[in-house]
Amino acid sequence: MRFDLEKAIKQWRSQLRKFKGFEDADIEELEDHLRSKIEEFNNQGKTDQEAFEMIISADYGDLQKLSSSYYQERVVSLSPWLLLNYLKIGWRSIRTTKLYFFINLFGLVIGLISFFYITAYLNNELNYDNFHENGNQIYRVNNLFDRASGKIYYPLIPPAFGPAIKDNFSEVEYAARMRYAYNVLMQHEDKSFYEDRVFFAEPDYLKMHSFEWLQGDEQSALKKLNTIILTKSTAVKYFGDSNPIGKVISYDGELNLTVVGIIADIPEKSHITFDFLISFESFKPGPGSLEPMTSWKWVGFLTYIQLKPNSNIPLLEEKLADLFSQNNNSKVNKGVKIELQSLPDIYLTSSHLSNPQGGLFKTNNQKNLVSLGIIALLILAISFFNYFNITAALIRTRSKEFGIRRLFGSTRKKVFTQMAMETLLVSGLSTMVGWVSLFIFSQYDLIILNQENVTVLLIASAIIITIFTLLSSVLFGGIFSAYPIMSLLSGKALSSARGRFSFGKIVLLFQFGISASLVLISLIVINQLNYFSQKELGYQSDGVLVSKFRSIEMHNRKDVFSEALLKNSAVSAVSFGPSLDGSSSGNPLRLNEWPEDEVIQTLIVKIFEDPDNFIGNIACELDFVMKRVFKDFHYQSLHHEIGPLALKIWLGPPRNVLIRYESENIIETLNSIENTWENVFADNAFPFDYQLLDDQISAMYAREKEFSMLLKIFTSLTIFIAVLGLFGLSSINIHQKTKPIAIRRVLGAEILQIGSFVSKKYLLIASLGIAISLPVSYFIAIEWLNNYAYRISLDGRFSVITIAVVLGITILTLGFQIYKVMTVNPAKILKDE
Amino acid sequence: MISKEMVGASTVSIILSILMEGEDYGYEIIRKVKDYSGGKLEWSEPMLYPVLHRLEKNNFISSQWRILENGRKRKYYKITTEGQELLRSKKEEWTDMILMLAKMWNLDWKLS
Repeated sequence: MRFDLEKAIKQWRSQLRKFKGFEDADIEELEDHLRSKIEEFNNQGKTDQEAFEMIISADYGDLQKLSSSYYQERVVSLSPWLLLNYLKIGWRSIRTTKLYFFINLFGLVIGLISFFYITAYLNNELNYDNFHENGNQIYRVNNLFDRASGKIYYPLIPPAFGPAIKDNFSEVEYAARMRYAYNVLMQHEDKSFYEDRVFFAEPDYLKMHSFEWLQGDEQSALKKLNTIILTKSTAVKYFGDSNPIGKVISYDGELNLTVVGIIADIPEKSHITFDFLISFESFKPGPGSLEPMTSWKWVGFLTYIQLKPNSNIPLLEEKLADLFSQNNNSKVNKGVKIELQSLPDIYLTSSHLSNPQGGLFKTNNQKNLVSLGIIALLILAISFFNYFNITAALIRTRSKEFGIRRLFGSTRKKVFTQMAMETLLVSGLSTMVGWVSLFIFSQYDLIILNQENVTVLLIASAIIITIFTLLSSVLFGGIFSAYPIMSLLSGKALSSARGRFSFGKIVLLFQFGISASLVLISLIVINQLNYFSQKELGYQSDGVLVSKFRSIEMHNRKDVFSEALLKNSAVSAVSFGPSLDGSSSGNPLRLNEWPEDEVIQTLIVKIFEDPDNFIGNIACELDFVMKRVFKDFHYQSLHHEIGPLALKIWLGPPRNVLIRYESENIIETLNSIENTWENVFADNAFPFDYQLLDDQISAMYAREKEFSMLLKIFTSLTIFIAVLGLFGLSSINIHQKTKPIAIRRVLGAEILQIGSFVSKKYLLIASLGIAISLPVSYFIAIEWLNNYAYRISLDGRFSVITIAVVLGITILTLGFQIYKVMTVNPAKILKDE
Repeated sequence: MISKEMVGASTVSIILSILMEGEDYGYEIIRKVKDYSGGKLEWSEPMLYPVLHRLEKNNFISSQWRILENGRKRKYYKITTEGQELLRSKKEEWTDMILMLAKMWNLDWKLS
């Protein structure tokens, strides 16, 4: 067989390539050496084969050794000095494309800030109640009722149930009942404040939880009648620097409570927050209450239990439900379930439970948090896609640069490194700007930068920069190493690479899709919330003021007060009732037991004139005479459907006063009501304190409002980033098409023809993106709307608005580019060529 | 034959000295070394290149790829001013060393 030198060299080359020490340029250099030596041997009369075999055996016996000496040189070759050089080159290429660099940077910064913000927010929300040592063994006992009116879920159980749980089940280590109180007047000497974060609790409560004990005897805490524990800042508020232990605080002028302990302030990330913890024994059912503390019907007590490890939760839940049913024979319940809710889960999985005045415990909707998380990732993805698209478009203009680099021995790895350094420069810069903005935000309390958040965000930044740099060096480095040098030099390589379904187009499609999807979903969320605020509640909540009566003396003078108020022309109605604290219905308007005439006047609830038509079977354990039939009204938040409701006439002394005022000048009205209050109750120590019913109602939707605000902000930012990307990309592409556009114009093309020539591609991709995203977003929106008993109907107008917004912005962006091109004289462009 | 240790110690000085004559490529450098030494100094030829690369990286020499008439690519190396400076100090070292040995061995050498 004849010896083929070329074939032999080719084999030798591929053998060298197997060693990591040799790069392409090294091999080329060695090949030149080899060929030179063969030529010399030829001159001495040796054949190719003889020469080749001699050289290989003499010089290339130990390839491993040779490779490692090359490798050592190269490892040192990635010296800081060289990396700096790459940065310098990167900086130069940035300087030549300033506008696009800033578009890239700006998009990335916005993307990163949004991502950081949402990550910090989620990190806060996802870590509630994890400071309790035995948190995983602690459960809240919830009562779930299946009634004719629908399912009702309470985080509360009757007062007799808690002790029964502790007595009957060996797996229960601790059990503690709690009772809440709002709007309590706490007084010590000249210091008096209305307080909301007040709880009565049994001693076991402190035993199972890990609140930090600061002062006083921990063992006897909550065991004695009329004793109270304060948080540190509350103690300072009432007692200043003096020792609070042993001092007395008065509770609504009814109880005198001795301070026996001080605990650290409750951590922010606790579902339950309190400033005052009173021994449970001190709690007495209010005057007029029908149920004693041995009741199995009064669903009004928070109860926490701690179980022994490895207890069978579902089995215990069933046993608890049995125990409940044996003692509570209420006919209205079709079914009763007991839910044991694990302490760390309470914050995120309580949207099914009613939460009186939104104040019994803190909660957030898990679905909303998941959506925000997805939005964070989408924003980050969009800003990366922008970077990718703009850089890819720019790189076409740099193919010559890379061709020359390859020609002069630059290797694949060096091209990777070059691209990596350039991306590192951009992503590093934007991360830095992002962090600076975070610190500025934190100065204005827009974001909480605690140690946990900073750690999470630092890790996230590192991951983002790494992924980002790797991805773009692989994507772009790959583009340049994949093409032969000559096609890079002629600039043909990349233009032919952009086929019908290029990656860039898919990226663009994705961007349009995400933008359209976010627009649609935000539209639906905003509409749903508007619907909430505009929905007919069945009564007039505006213009009603709620205040609390705190002493028997005040109760006795209620008629005097009412008369005095009604003399004021701005006050149209006054009514009195029991507690507004709401025991079981999860609403600000606990009307179950209010006298009817005054309520009708104050709240303007509509009635049916002829109640006799409505007599039917009402399951009730007591006999009542029916006097009026009200039309349906929303006595609970709109998350819940209107169920059957009976209003009983209240027999005890009133605890609250509702005042309807009709006046343009609210300040003046409030002042005059306050004057009346002070005149009538001149000798009492309770200052005038009120809430607007509207405020209480809107507090029920605070979470929704927060979510909708975040959604609005981040949707706008996402669209902004996408528009920025489209602007950059279309500007580069139109710039590259300057010549064909000029030729068309010289040949007499009109603006519309030029417009369609330039923008057809983008509009097609935009339309396709919208078309794909609409059904998906509708699906997501329906899922979200299912949270609400009363919801808007989804119709075509949302799609129409979405299409108009996304296409409109696209056309505006492209229009601006086309306008720029059209204002240049085509002759000038053609002459320049 | 010259020992490995001596070869190692002298390589940089030799390469820089050759490049002082003008720019050159690897194979030619090796050929010149053979000529100068009368065949007494033999390098493991491919090992020359890592040394060249290191010198280049440290800025003592610079390189350039050229395309030959027959289409082959060849890398040429050139000494830089930093390289010239390095060679000057190497020369002093070698001179001191040679003069010292000459004195010890009573050789009568005159250095031009």
